Amino acid sequence: MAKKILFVDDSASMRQVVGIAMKNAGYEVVTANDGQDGVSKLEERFSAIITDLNMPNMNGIEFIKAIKQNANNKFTPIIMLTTESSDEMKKQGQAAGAKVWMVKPFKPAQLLMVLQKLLG
Amino acid sequence: MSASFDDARNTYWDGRFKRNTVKLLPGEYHSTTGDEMLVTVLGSCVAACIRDTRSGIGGMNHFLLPEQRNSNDKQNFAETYDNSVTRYGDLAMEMLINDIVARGGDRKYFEAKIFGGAQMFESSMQIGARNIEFVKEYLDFEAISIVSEDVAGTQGRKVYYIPETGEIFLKRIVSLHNNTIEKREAKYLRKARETKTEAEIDFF
Repeated sequence: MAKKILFVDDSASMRQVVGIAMKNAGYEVVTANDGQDGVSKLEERFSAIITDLNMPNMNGIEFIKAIKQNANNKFTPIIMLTTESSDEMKKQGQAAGAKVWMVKPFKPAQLLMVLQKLLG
Repeated sequence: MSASFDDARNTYWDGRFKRNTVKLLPGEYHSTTGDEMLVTVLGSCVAACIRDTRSGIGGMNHFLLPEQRNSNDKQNFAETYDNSVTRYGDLAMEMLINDIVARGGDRKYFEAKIFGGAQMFESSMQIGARNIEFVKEYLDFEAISIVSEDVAGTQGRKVYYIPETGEIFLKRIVSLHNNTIEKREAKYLRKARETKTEAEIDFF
């Protein structure tokens, strides 16, 4: 069965691009357009969750904290994919429970490489 | 920083408009919650002016796409995403939009005005045209409506934008004796081409 990935980003073009790249690589993809929307998808268990940082309603750090409270996805590896590259934000992300921090711009192939590394 | 895209820092008091003014150079963006005015000079580069019409929070960017686009780009956005054109343009737009959202702007009420993309010198025809094409495609994708535009042609533009009110004041630059705009844009193009397009990745 295909591994299911949750991808959360407020940019529609980013959701489209990343969604297609992951589907082409054989993953099943669920998308959400901000942290709040992401939380509403957590009834399912995901193999990995990829999230943007700067989003309306609920940002990426708050979203990670919510994931860590969720019984289904407490142990799901989380990738932060953002334009933010400051060490301070990275520390906050790490403390909240992110496993990987990727700074945009990126190549979809890089993201697939990271997923493979996390999921084997 | 992996990206050559920065928040503008160059400010002055504009006596004519009686406003604090932030001047944007190529490769910069700026957004504001206050009554500041933003100004930039465009040749073949483009500027997107985006604001939340309810709160007046908004900003501007100034960029160009560093590479040629493939003619089949539009057919499959994702397949051609590895082309740095889209990545760089995406970044320029996303950084502005993120900044407006971070200041409290609501995407639901965003409107956009777009400027620039002139043919400043012979070889820049396609540069200007594809910059315009990209901005339009991006905004369409993000469902942000373009409420006014002044693009293409052969003249440079000086664009003043007041996010608070949404007002634009535009001056056409009639053939200058010097080529400051071209020189500045050519320098920026070189810098944009050197921008790293691979992500920095940290595993915790």
